[in-house]
Amino acid sequence: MTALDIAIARKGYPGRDGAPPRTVLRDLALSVEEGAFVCVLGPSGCGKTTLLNLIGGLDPDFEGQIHSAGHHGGARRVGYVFQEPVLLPWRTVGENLRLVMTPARIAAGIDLSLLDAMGLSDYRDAFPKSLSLGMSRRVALARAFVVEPHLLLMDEPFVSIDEGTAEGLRQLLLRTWRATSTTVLFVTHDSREAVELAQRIVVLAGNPARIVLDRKIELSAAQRADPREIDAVRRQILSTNKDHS
Amino acid sequence: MGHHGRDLASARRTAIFALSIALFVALWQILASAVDDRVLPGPGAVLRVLWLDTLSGELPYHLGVTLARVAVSFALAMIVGSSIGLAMGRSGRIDRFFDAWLILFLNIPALVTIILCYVWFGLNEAAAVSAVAINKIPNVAVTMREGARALDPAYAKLARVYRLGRWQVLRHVVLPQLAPFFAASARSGLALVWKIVLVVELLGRGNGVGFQLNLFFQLFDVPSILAYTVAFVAIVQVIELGLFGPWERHANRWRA
Repeated sequence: MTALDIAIARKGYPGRDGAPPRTVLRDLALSVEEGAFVCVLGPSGCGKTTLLNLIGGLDPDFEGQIHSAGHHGGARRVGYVFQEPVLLPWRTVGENLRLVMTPARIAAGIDLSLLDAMGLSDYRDAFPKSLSLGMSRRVALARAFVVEPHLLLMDEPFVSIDEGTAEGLRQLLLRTWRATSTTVLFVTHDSREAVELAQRIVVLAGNPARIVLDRKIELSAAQRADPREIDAVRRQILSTNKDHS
Repeated sequence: MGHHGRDLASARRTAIFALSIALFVALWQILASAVDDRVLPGPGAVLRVLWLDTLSGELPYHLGVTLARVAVSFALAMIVGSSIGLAMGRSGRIDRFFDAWLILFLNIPALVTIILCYVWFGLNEAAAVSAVAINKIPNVAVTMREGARALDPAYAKLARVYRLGRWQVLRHVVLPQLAPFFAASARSGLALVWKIVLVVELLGRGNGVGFQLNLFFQLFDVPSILAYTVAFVAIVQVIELGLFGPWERHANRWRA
């Protein structure tokens, strides 16, 4: 079943302060299977965040259509993980999570097994300022999962942290994703990260951006843990990509 | 720094405060004994008047009337000023249009507003309270406009993605961001409002601390003037320490 059907004819921004109007995305079609983990790979500033904003319903101003399945009686639930954790600093970790939950879920209480799995049980009453950056990102990840999203959008969520912490967060993300039926759209400019995580990689390039490569990644968990395997796939993708850009 | 260190620091602050007050009273006493008693009575004489007027009920009555006026005009100024400031901070068009008005009102002397309010609306309570509020509204608006401009768009995006309700956004996202600005304008607001209330009372009311001060001025009763002043300053300090202080500490607990 298709979780997400995107057909964007054009997305542009009007000229402002002397800058000319510019088209960011053109003729971009993408269809995502339910439960899939798709990485959108592309250079910084190519329009990846713009695409996520359209899918997340943050920006209705575009030509085209975006359909998503999973309207199980009511609004589709979307989880979103931003580049920065964006936790409300004046609310505790627990309050930050409860804020995005539905009243029914709040009544049932926060899913403690999720908190446990994410190593957050001891931090429920902590304010975000007291957390390390890696821990804050973990809370942001937990917040995206407590809404039990049909669709999880991630916008380079593991940038600007050290590689060890990022690796831990990637493993945590994969574990949590496997335990749920969530469809994930993960945006990154890091091809290594994309190969390690994704079942399918979609490469955006050009100006305006369009899809230049759409490839399934069929690696076992053991292969994904091996840097040489990742590097091999990564080289293939980059070389194909070069022909297009 | 642990609890122990904090206790020590707080004890030191209290000691310095007490010492500073004691020095002030001592200087007052020295100065008072050097000049004529009628011009500057000593702390003892003022304290005696304070005590007698409190027993007679006169001081508490006028103090109460004045505090009620302060409370009403302060609340009015905070509500109206915040609304104007937030609207201006959120909308560039409203801001550009009303900016000139704001500057105009900021620069009208308090006395002019008071006189005009009395002339236009009569010597009544509503005119008095409005005059005070109008004086304070532009200051509140300017501060709250800064607050509205400082709202972080990242949180707005968060609220939209996770479909937070209006009330949730206001309570958990917007108000906590505005709290420091609100505290700043409330604090400076209280200081300004109670001073203007005295002028309003002096010019057109038949009771309140301002009215009494005018009376004592006519009678050349300096001890009473000082007694009322001391009582009023003390009460405002209590409000500051007992109300604003704890609220601000609570609102800022996450910053630690």
